[in-house]
Amino acid sequence: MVALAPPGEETLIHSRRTLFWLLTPAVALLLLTTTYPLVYALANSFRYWVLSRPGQERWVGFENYTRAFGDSDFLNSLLVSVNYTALAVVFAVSLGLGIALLLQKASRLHTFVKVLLIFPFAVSPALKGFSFRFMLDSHSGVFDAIADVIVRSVGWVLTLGGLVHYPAFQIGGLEAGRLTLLPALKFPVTADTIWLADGFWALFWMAMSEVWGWAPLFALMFLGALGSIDTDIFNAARIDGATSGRIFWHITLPLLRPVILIVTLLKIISSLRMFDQVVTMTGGGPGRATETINHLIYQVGFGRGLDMGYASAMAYILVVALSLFAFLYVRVLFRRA
Amino acid sequence: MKRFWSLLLVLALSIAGAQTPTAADYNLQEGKPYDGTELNFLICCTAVAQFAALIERTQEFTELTGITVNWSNTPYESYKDEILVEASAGTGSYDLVAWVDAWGPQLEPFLLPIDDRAAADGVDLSDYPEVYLDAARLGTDTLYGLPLRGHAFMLWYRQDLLEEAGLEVPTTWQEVAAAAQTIREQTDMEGVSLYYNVGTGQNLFPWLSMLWGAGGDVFDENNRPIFNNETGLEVTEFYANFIREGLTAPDAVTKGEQEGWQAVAQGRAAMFPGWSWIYESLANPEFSEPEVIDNLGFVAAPGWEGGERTSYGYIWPVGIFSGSRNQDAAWEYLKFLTNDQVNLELVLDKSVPELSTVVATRYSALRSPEVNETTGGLQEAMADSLEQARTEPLVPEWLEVQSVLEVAINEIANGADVKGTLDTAAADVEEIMSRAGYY
Repeated sequence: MVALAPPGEETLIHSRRTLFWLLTPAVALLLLTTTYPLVYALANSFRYWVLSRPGQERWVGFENYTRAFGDSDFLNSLLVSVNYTALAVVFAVSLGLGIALLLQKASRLHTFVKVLLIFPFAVSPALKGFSFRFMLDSHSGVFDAIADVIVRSVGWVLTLGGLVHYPAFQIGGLEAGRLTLLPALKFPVTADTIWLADGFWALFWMAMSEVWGWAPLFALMFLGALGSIDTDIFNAARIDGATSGRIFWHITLPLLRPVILIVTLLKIISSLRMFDQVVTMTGGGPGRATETINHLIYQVGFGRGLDMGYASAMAYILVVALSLFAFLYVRVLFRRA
Repeated sequence: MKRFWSLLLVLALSIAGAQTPTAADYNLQEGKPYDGTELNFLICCTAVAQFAALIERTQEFTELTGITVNWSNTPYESYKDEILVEASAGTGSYDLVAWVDAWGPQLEPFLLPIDDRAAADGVDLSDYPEVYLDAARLGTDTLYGLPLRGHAFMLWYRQDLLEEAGLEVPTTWQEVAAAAQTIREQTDMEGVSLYYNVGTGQNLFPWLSMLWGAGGDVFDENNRPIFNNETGLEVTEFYANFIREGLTAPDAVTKGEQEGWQAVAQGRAAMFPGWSWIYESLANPEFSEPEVIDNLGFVAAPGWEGGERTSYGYIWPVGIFSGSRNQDAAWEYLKFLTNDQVNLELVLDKSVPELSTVVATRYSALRSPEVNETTGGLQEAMADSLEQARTEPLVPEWLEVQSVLEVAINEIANGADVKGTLDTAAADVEEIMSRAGYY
């Protein structure tokens, strides 16, 4: 007599085995495409390996790491990346939240607007860089033109309203001075600013090119989160006489906190990896004012140095810093949750 | 009558036979010894007229040799990465490669020396400007490639504007500055369109031309930086004064070479220092205003007052990967690409606008009266310029050094102190060279 395993157990074993074989290719692929390069790069970070000097590869211990912390270019790029990240995160999250709050109330245009919101995110980062570079051009850029139109419009309104008086002169009995002076009005900040020639403005606009794509995406995420909040909470607050401001600060914002923290984490990680717009918009300039850490790593590894060992070490410093940050952030996030 | 037609046919056939080029006409091996071989050529930007024309001519090469060639058309932005991957991995995926001169020394370990082949097949190296061969030797005594594409540094100007201002064509950088000042005072145009941005070292083109002309240099004979010496300071101060004194547009700090020539093409600037290939854009109605095309003037790059008229050459050599499994067939194609007859015919052929090029690398084409007739003497001016030209320092560390220098120049153009910035740059360069083991 043969002892038979209960039918359920056999199915379970069979199912586990099947699962194992089904998962194996995916796990192997993951190991090959993520773990292997990570381990390989880690090993390289302890080696002298310059592509144009084959045969001279050797282990150098922590030399590449100590070099990084004494390298003014590396320290500068770290600072640039942090500044850039701060600008991009603050603007993307706050604008995204602002857009979501504006679109919170149901309207017939909702679906249409939501579709529109996803478009900027779909634009490739390199293309955003090129577009912003053209838009900021001092000869034919639209930013300066729009700013000038705004200031002229304000000028017309103030002049016609009699609030501003220009040194008028007469042509054929008509007071022509103010009319001829107005077209020459320039927006005070933009008139003499060459955006990408100034370190602060170049970094600011680079961040804005990214905010332009991310803020609408965050708006969609915030809209989803807002939709999931029970409206009874808002109604109760209103009945108790809470103002809109108090409702926002004491109800909406705390309830949105998990989403805000998650999108902030996403944006920080994405911003620290900034590369495309540096290439297409500023080239890292003026000087090295917009050279982010990722761009420097690329330049050292491929662009100018071919120094794979040093580039790997810098990349690992970034990986460790990001991992540490993400770990602490997520820990705090979950603790509070 | 029948005999007449037979004779006519024989005559026609013999004329046709005489006009059909043979492998020997291009210095290629006869008998198709590599018939059926497929070559892969790692190159970028096949829409460039010269390359597009060469692709067209490759059909003829295939008919003569039985060798087929695939041009890779890698985007310029990832071109160097692709070369590096192929070079370091040594997969043998590509047989031939063309590179920008500044990258050459870094590629030396991966390229096949071709001196013996060139000597055996009687390739006339004296037909090339020495500056082109220097770059093809990668700063060594060994030849690793032949010039495929090359440019001379020129001064482009608007003849009408100079004439109206009563100015002669500038021959020194000091005259360029004076002419720019006059034009600025007499018109609302930019005197000279310069470019100081950070990118691929383009802001060093005029600076190096000035530095060499003034007798200065980047390195001394021991590869120690000397660009911050008295001559270097004088030249850099002079170069920065173009923007500081309003002789070029204030946004020149954000401009690259392309935005530089576009200012001339759009009628916003009177002069522009740049490469000879730009003729293809400045003389093209698609890019340039009619008054620009009608009044376009060019001359070899200016010299330095009291110094020499040292110019600047820029070259793309073509060579063979040492890991290629088809080195002999690749050499055949390399000879065809750089053949004197092909070089000449390419610049003479104006039948298809998209394939019409002004780029020639050999003196036989550059000095050809027929060629010069098509461009108003551009190639003659190129040849003059190239005879006195130098190229960037051919050391593997040049791209790192270039990065330090271009940032320094950009900062100086943005108002930084000249001496302090150059001294800092020199210290950085010394560190790069020291780390590389030069001293």
